[in-house]
Amino acid sequence: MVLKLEPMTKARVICMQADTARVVDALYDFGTIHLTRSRQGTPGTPLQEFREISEELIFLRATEKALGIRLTPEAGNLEPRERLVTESKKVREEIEELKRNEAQLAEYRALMAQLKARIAELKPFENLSVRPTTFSQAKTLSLHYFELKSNRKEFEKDLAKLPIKTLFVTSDRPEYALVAVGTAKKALLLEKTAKHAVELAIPTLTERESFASALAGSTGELERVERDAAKLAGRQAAYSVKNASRIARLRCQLEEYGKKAELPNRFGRTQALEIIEGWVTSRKFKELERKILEVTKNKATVEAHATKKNAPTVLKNPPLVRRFEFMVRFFSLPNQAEYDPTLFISITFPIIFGMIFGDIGYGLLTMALASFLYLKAQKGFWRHLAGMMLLSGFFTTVWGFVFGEFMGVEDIFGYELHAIIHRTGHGVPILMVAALLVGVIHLGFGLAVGAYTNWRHGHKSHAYAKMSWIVLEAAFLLAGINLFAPYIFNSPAIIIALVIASVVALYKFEGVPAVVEIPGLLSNLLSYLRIMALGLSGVILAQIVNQIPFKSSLESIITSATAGDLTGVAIGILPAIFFGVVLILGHAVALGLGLFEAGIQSLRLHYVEFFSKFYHGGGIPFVPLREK
Amino acid sequence: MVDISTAGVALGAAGALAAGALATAWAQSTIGAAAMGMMAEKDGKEGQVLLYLALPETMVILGFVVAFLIISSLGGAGAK
Repeated sequence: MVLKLEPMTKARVICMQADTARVVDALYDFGTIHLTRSRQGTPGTPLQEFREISEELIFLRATEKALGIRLTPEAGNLEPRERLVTESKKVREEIEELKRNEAQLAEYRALMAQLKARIAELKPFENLSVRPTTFSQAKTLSLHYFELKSNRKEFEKDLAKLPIKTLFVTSDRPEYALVAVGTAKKALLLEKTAKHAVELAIPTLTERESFASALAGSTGELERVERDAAKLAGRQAAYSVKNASRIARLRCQLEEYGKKAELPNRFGRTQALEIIEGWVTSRKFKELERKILEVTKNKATVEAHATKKNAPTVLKNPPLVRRFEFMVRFFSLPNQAEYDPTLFISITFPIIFGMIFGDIGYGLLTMALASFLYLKAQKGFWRHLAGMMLLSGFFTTVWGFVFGEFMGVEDIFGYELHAIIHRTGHGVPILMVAALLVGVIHLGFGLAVGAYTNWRHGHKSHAYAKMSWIVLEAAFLLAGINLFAPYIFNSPAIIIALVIASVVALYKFEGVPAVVEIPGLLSNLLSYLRIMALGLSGVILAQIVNQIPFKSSLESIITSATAGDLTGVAIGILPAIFFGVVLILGHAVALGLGLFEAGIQSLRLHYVEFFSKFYHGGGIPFVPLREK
Repeated sequence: MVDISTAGVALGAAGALAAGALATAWAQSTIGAAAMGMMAEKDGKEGQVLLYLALPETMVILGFVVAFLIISSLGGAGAK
């Protein structure tokens, strides 16, 4: 039965300490066991290989971080541990080699910086025909090479103003100038030309070198170093790309070995025995027993304990319902004394979602989005979400027919829709009553489940109290009908009698706190009015989007085209495109908001209003040793 | 010209909605600040935070219902 939880059995394995490693392998192979910490004997210690595995894992994780590897492969079938450790040590050697390369790369970078500085120093002298030795060998003349700051004529004027003879030599490049002056007048020359020129330092060269040959030499050297550095950097980068999956796989597999090696931490031990405790599903207990006895050659005992205390929760639902399990997990798993509410939520959530969102167009779009997501997501949360959205989209479409709405209008491309309930105008009070009716049914159902659960567990007074709540709820409903539709029901005396009877019963079975909570039931019921309020706001938003004049701009283009007015067509195209884009964006926003609001608010109606009537949760999640 | 009674109905409805909206905004700001603190401390709580943030919206919905009832029962634009 889908409402019941998977029956669990507490298993206790007692084996010889000599068999610990084999039993650990068997447990790991079995996988679906939720191990608990045994309180028998003294706490266990990890397997011998744990230290070596930990060291390799620390190294591999650090390497992944340093190389920016972010892969999470599945462990799959485990390779032998020794092979993995050897492979990890090989990676360690390769990383050491990479570190040496890194040092070499740093040297290259420093050398490149030096060469670039040398080239920058030599570049101004590139076309200077004077030999470098001339600068140092001139005795009576002092030679100066200037970089001109501004106009060359200004510099020449500065020279002309000097009361000394200068030998002015122009170089091939107009921004530089070579000036010779008597050695004694050197200071005067530098002072008077400082405004328009800067003297360049003469690079140190060997006797046989010219400026041009020194520059060519440095440029060639730089090119060679750059080439070598690029090659080395490429090798570094290629290593991460080439070995990313290898390192991630090694880490992943060693992690599994690490988990296995530290399992005995949770065991209890005596002088010679190992005591292992955990939970398995009752139908798998025999399989566990067979595996343990097989690996220990019958030198172990596997006991089953008939208890539900602290048992973890395993939900048991068919695939169609399973996609709603995440909503229950999100709130809290059911404890062992409760029913699994997934089936209820899988029926009522899409209906309430559809009632809030209710629109044929948006419903179909939701289904299309959900189908796309369903095909893209192979498993896990997104696939479940897609399945849930598909069903919710279907009910949105169904309610869309009830409300006669397609993307906020009351026709589908000219075909008029006949609404059963108009969500705007005169239909609002009807929708209000419908929303309250949904609340009455939803809460009543929750209270009935609560009553049954309490009755089943022998809490009869609580069961009677839940029934009293149902009677009180019925009284509220009748009062509403009496107030708004007296032609259906008009008997205040019955209502008063029901209220008094239920209040007295509540006081008898649950005391004053239950009586104090009576306004809470009314508040819970009124909370369902959000179905109407959110639905109305959704329609209004869609109607606002529909006011964008896309249709009229299209009509104006067609009119112009029919009249042969090409200028009118040309003028009309741009606004039509603009309004078309805004219309699509507007409906996309309305769809996004609708999905979000309908999802969140219907979830809230389940968690806060519906669950509070029968569900407590607090179940312990089942954590299997290994996901199969 | 809008007569004084219509204006009074409109103001009453607006007041009911505004009170609900302000109360919701105040509650959501407090919850939001606490939620940010919770998320900073513990990962993977984003979904629950969304739900907690949605809880106080009941107040604005009830404000809307009251506004609607004022307009529909006392007359004015909403009753037409």
